[in-house]
Amino acid sequence: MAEDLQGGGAGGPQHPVPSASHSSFPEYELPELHTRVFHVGSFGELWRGRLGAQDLSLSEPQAAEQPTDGGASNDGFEDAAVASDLGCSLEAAAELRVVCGLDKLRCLGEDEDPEVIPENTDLVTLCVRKGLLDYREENITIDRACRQEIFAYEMESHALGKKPENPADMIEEGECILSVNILYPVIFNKHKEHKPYQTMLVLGSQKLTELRDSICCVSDLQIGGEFSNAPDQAPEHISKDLYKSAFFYFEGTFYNDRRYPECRDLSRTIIEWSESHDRGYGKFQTARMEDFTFNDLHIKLGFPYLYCHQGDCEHVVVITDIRLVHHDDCLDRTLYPLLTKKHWLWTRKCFVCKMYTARWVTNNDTFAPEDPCFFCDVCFRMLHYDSEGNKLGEFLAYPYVDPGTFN
Amino acid sequence: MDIDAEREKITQEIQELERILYPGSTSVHFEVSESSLSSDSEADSLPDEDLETAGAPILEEEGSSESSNDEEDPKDKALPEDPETCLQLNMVYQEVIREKLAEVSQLLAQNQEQQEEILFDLSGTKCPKVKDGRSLPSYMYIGHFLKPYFKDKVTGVGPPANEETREKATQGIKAFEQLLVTKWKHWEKALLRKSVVSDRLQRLLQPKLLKLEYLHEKQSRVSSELERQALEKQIKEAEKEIQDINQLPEEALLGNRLDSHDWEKISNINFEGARSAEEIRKFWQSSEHPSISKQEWSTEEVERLKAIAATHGHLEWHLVAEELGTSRSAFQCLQKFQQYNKTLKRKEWTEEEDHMLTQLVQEMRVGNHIPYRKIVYFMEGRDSMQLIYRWTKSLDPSLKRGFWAPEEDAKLLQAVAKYGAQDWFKIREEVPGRSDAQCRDRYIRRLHFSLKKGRWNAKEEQQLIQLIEKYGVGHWARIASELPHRSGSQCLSKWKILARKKQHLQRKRGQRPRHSSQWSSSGSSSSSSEDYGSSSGSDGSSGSENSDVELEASLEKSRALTPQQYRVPDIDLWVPTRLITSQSQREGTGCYPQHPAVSCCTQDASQNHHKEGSTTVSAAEKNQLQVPYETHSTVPRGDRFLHFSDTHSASLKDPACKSHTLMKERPKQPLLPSSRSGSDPGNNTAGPHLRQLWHGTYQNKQRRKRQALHRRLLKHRLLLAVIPWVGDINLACTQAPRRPATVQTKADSIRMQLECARLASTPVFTLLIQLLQIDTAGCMEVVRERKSQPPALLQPGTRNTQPHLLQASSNAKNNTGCLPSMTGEQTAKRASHKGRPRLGSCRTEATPFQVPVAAPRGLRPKPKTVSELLREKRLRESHAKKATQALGLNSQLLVSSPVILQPPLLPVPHGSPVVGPATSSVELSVPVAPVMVSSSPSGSWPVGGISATDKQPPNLQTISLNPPHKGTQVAAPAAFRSLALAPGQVPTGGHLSTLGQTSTTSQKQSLPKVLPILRAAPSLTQLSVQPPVSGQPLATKSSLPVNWVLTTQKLLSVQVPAVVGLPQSVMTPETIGLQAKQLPSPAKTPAFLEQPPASTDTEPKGPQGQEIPPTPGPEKAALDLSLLSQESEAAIVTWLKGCQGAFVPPLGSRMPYHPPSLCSLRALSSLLLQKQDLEQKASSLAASQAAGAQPDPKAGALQASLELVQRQFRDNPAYLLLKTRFLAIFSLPAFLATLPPNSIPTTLSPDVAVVSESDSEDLGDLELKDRARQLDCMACRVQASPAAPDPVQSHLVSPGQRAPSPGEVSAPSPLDASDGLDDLNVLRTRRARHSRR
Repeated sequence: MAEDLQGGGAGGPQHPVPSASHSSFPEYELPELHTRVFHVGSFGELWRGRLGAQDLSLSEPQAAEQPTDGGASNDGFEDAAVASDLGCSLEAAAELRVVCGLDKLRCLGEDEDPEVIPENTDLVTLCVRKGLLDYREENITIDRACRQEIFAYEMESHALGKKPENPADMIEEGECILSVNILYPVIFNKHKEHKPYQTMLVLGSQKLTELRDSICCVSDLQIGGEFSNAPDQAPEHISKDLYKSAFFYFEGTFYNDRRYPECRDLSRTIIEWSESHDRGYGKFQTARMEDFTFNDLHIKLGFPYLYCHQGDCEHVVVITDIRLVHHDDCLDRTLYPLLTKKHWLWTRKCFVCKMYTARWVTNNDTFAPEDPCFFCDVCFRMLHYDSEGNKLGEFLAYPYVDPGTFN
Repeated sequence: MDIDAEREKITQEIQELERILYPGSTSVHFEVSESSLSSDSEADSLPDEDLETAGAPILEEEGSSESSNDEEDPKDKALPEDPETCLQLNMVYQEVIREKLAEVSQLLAQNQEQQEEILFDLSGTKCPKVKDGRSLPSYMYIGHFLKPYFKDKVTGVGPPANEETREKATQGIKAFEQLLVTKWKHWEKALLRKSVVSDRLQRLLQPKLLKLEYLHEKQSRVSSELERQALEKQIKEAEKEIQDINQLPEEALLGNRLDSHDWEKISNINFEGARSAEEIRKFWQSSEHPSISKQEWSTEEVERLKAIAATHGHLEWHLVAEELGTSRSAFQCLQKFQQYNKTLKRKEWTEEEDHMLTQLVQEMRVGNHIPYRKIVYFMEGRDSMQLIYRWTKSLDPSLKRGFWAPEEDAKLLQAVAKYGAQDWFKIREEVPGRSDAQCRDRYIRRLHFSLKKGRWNAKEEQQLIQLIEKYGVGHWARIASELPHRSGSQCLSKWKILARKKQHLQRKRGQRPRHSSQWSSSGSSSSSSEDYGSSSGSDGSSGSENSDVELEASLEKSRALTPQQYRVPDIDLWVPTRLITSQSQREGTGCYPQHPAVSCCTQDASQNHHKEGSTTVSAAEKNQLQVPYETHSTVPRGDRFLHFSDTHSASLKDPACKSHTLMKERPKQPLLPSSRSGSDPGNNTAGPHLRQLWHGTYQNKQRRKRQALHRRLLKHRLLLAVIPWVGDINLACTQAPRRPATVQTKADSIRMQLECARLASTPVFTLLIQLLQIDTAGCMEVVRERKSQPPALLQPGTRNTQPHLLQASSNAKNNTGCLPSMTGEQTAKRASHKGRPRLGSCRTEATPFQVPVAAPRGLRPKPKTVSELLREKRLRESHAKKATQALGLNSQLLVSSPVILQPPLLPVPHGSPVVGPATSSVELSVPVAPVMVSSSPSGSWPVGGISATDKQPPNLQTISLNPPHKGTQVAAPAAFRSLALAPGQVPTGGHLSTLGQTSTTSQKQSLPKVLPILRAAPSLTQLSVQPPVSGQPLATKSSLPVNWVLTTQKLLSVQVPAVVGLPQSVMTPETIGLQAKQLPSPAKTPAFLEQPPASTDTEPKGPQGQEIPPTPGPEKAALDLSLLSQESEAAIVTWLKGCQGAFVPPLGSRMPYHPPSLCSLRALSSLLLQKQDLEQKASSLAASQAAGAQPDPKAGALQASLELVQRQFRDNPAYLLLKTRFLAIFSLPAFLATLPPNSIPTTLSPDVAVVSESDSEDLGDLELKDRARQLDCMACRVQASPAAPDPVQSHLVSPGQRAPSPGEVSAPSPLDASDGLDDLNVLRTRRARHSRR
């Protein structure tokens, strides 16, 4: 937390500061994995201190200004700025502009279609893209965007550039946006390999509880109890109402949700457990989730942390990115935490009709071929009850909340 | 250690070596090994070079020492000890030592590496490991952090469960892990099978092997030869057993389904723990065991499955599986069944569903992505494909309909050019707002490059005509395929044009005179409506895309029909209407299900209601207004028309204050279609010239079009109807110039009226008065008066001449003529009678049309019915007092009514005016029924009814039975609504009924009661359609709130005619003769009608009122059982189920007995009173069938008819059902009737039962057909409304007029012809009922 601004290099991770255990900016501890611990708020401060007003501004840039008008004078001005910045002569600056100018970034001729990938490219990304397109070409049956693709695209773009209706909801300039990946607990077997997750954008000034409230997990919606004897008995309480405790774990600290009287300290068992032996963890601390914003946190980017709720529903949380808000972002702060990616989970269908979403799961079922076995309401009742509503055979029936629908 | 010191030491050693060498070294070897060891141990500090440098000098000495040391011992003796050999040896040893050195340096490097590693391990993560990035520590993978996040570093076990977890576990909330299901793969199945076999085998062999072992052991110990032999034998046996076991077939080894196996072992060993023992066991036992057939289902098996499942009520699948006997599991059976279960998925989309889907989509969509799979969770009975189609093809608000804009066409063409005329889903994207189907249609039909537009040349025409001849009219696609450059629709329209031309030519030769142009539109409307009638199968669904062409065509078509009035479509054509209507009803239009036409009209009405905020009544009213015109125009002889116009003017002069508004309205109507809608122009020109040619082809093909047309017309009419209320601002041009009339709208006028009405004239006041003075005497008087009037006679003669029943149409016209007249008279009468300005005015509206026509006929039918109603009601009320339940209900309802009424009171000026027309309509409807009966009980009457009551006559031909309802229904709702709207109006309803008589009390009461119900129901419009009550039923029902509830909410069928004497005959072709006979004596029938109580010919009346009901209510609103009875709900339910109800053996179903409080007592008594008459009719029927001509003396004929019935209907389920119903309704009353009034217990007299049965039979066969239909309806409905015991209750409404006194009941002489079976039944049921009590 030391505000040790490292001379001129404070702006980026390219100047490693090995000594500092807590730095104010992200720095890679293990390359490509995660950074060292840093303080989110002070990192934002650094940025704001470095950048000018027009860099931070969220208003639309005047498009007309740049390209055409007074090209020469503009160039001269820029050259002078560069020269003074770099301490070189004006000629050198002008040469720099020619050599490293924006024009040089253009790699295609005027009439070339950027959609067409040239045959003999040695650019890796292009190759990858080409490979993917080829694969798609080969495997697709109907030539149109599949629903998953549309879904992913829409999720990503639905809030882009949105302006708040009420100006008071405008995001402040220089606000940090953190991308948070929240993994689902393993729900299906196939996810042993590929971990499904959702991505949220959260503002640095938002409280942890805001993120907590916006995480949607099926286990919050589950309904307890065995209802084979009275399937009509409407189970009224979902788990969310019954079990309100939750915690985030970041860098040795448990942030417990204590907003409601019925919230419990879920971290206690872990701390006790850890302290009873040497488990390889250091000393844990606890804090109240509602007291902390993301700006207050010390985190490593890319490091797997934990969100735990419903007793034992554990979501690994990875903060993958941190950046300043941009005028193309969704600027309505009420929409944050903003969900931008969501894994597409399949709904579980009734094992009988294979048509409707399952609503019941049975165990030890006399009639069911598998254990557990899933049923939609209609088939469940047809198979398990007689005309009077009496139970037939032996089974345990639990209401099933479909992750595909509700996650 | 210091290097210098070491060097020192080494040099010392070297020196020493040198010293030693000279005498011949022995210790050198040791030295070297030592040095290597030491270098090993202190490798880090000792640089290689050091060693090298240190070692190098040594080498040579070592080599020599070596040579002299070890190997020389033996060799020394052999080798010459000359320097030569020494040198050689030295070289060899040097070589060896060099190798050793390399080895050592390698080891050193290894060691260093290891040390580094150890150091790294010790320093932990903090030490960056730059060397190799690929071997990351395991904990750097995300999987390492998955549950449990916190792990012990040694054991990897997480912390103990926290409280919440534990609590949840006890709650039974499952963790995701518990819900994991892994599909069983093929190899797993095979493995399972194999492991079961091996387990089994092992289990069998184990003891044998043990035994064998034991025997062997024993054998080895045994000494005596004898024992040994015995043992050997045993061993052999055991071996043989083992052999046998080994040779057991696999099937045997698999064992029974529920055999126990060592599942734990299978799980852990065979499956290596991949699946739990329990899971494996379950899967084996209930799915994988070979005793469960996994073959494909054959079709017959599926059929059988369906049948068996049905017998089990689609439940208890284990029994089904057992019965099926093809070794399927219950699960499999259900699975298969569901696969073929059509009811599992919903079909037609209801409005609510559409609404819901729209809402869900709006809430859940993410940009363009609509998560159907999630939405489907909330849409019961739908799968996601249905949602997709519904949304993308129908509901999506961005979808455009109607004409294509040129830009759209351009886009489409562009897209087609891009993708070709195939990938319509891609093309769709380029043409925003159009679905793929639309694009395709548009392109293929209109824009295709090869399509030729413009005039047809002669050759093409020629070709077309030829092709039409070849393929027949209607196969346009095929025709078009052979006709280059023309599309099917082009062919169609061309053909129409051609046909029209022909028509025109013929017309010119002088056909019937056309009406003035002003009326032409009315003519068209009538014809269109008529063709509705012919379009028996027109479905309720929309045929939205009617092009002008189609419209024209249908118009023409209808025209074509007009000349054809005497040709009525085959009976088959119109029979199915009911079924179809039931469908349409299900479609959620929520309208009157009976007739498509009606439904659509009501639909429109409802729409109108919603959209324009004006009352729906207007539609109904409209209809009525239109009716007269239509009928007239259709009349072949032109004279009617004039007549009509007269009436028109007469009506104008009517004292009613409203008349001016009416006038305004009327002219507009006729004009409307022609002037306003572009579609109609075709009428005027082409209308008259059409030929019957068209008739046949159209009949089957153009139903839809017709309907669409009809809708349009309706809309126009609706618009027109609305105008007077709103004041026509835009449509000034449509107003006839000659009516100066007023600028006022109807609403205004009514408002004015209301304002000037004083207390004495308010309906409320009259209501009060009438409540207080109920005078029966007055009623009787009226009745008598009516009786005295000459019987209305419709031209029965005309009927007789015609061979076919249905040609009644001509009759119908006549009837219509007379009907209105009656009403007119009535209204006039009333007006004069009571001097209520408002009412009068209301009526006048209706009257104008009818009055003129009315001249010939007396008004009696109408008033009579009303009076009957009143009387009935009063009687029933008194009766009800006895039955506490009923009374309680009544009171309840009465009490509640005001409360409910309040909300509806909002009526704005708009609302209240409506009342006028509404009431009038009621009146109209009422008269209809009686008239029809009286005039010609046979086929003709329905037609008349229709025409008189509403413009729905379209149905004329199709639905001979129903029409009366329609009329009444349409009317009734109007009345109700009016009531609901304006509290003041309520009494008017009462007046209506009472008009003739003074006593209205009961009706007034009834109306308020009705209202709440109506209000309560969710959608006004639907309801309005529903209450099908003609005047009669209204009254009767109103007295019995219970009925009402049923009817309004869903149980229209309730009123299935208990006794339809005459009307039925219409249906059966055989009866024609009968009718002919009857008709000649019209005097008789009217008499009946007029004097229900006296003549006791209640049946004819009843039927009309009650026939209405068969229309099943479309709503599925849950039945409020508490409205039915005050008993506990469960009791009612069981009663409704009719478990202990009436039962006629061959039928499986039972019907609940009706409490006598539901007026079946009276009905019974009236039945009995009518018995003779009925018998007579029945016998005549039988006679006519048998002999044809003269009716035999009664007894014989009756006998014959009974036999006939017995013969023909014994196995007819409809008949049986009827019978059951009859029993259900009347057995209790009959029983009660046998009890003397003073409640002295008596034994049951068999007579009564007999009587009732015989009656039932008589009536039964007459009604049979009708009933059968109703049953059909019921069947349809049963599914829709779970608790629909309704049909039974219809009888409640039956028009018994008097409280049955036991004496009366017993009076009729017993019939000998009763069959014993029925007797038994009656007795049994009676007893059952008794015991229940």
